[in-house]
Amino acid sequence: EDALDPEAIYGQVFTDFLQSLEEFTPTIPDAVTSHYMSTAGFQVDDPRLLRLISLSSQKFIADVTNDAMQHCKLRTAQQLKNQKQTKDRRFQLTLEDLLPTLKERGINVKKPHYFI
Amino acid sequence: MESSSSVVPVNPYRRILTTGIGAAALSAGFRTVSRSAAETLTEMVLSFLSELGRSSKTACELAGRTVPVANDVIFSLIEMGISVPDLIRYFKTSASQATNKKKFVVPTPSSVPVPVP
Repeated sequence: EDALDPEAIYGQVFTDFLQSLEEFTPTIPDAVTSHYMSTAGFQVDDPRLLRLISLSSQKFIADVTNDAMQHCKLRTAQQLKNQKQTKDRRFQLTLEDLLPTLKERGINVKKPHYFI
Repeated sequence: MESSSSVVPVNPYRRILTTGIGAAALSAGFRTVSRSAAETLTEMVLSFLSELGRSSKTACELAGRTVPVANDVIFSLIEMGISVPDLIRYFKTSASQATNKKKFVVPTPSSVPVPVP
């Protein structure tokens, strides 16, 4: 009943997905993806493959930033509760929110002291 | 996304990647991105792309091919622990969001109400 079960990705669902990638415009342009792919030694001419790679990196960024957003909201809610200030809805993505998010994914990043 | 002339990376490819990260942060709900966070994320995406390229090339060569196919990239994604069904779901969601955005509609004579004198 679920068309996206792991066995179905080799069937019609995956073929349709690859075809619909032709009309997709990812955040990372094809030229940038192609450049970094060729830097890694992988020459790609098919635009669908480039968009598949762009889409996967776009999802990677989106997952990280969404997690950081949840972390930022929790942190600011706790601060507001303690300080009883007015609500400030302008969130800023900082390393303070990014580092715990990355740590959950097994990536340990240390804040460099020289980075102003 | 806040920026100043001194923080913009010189490499144009890297600059576009940073712009993409700013767009992703904006769609997640952030209004600004600090320089260190943007640089960290840019470096991570660069690492992600390099690893995906290296792994896909290895998969392609392992199969005895010189021209890569989609299954090589899929194989690498699975090897990197990325769920392909989740990727398809994300694609469907983002594609539907893109089509739901309001587009500028050029008014035609039939859509504009004609004032009655």
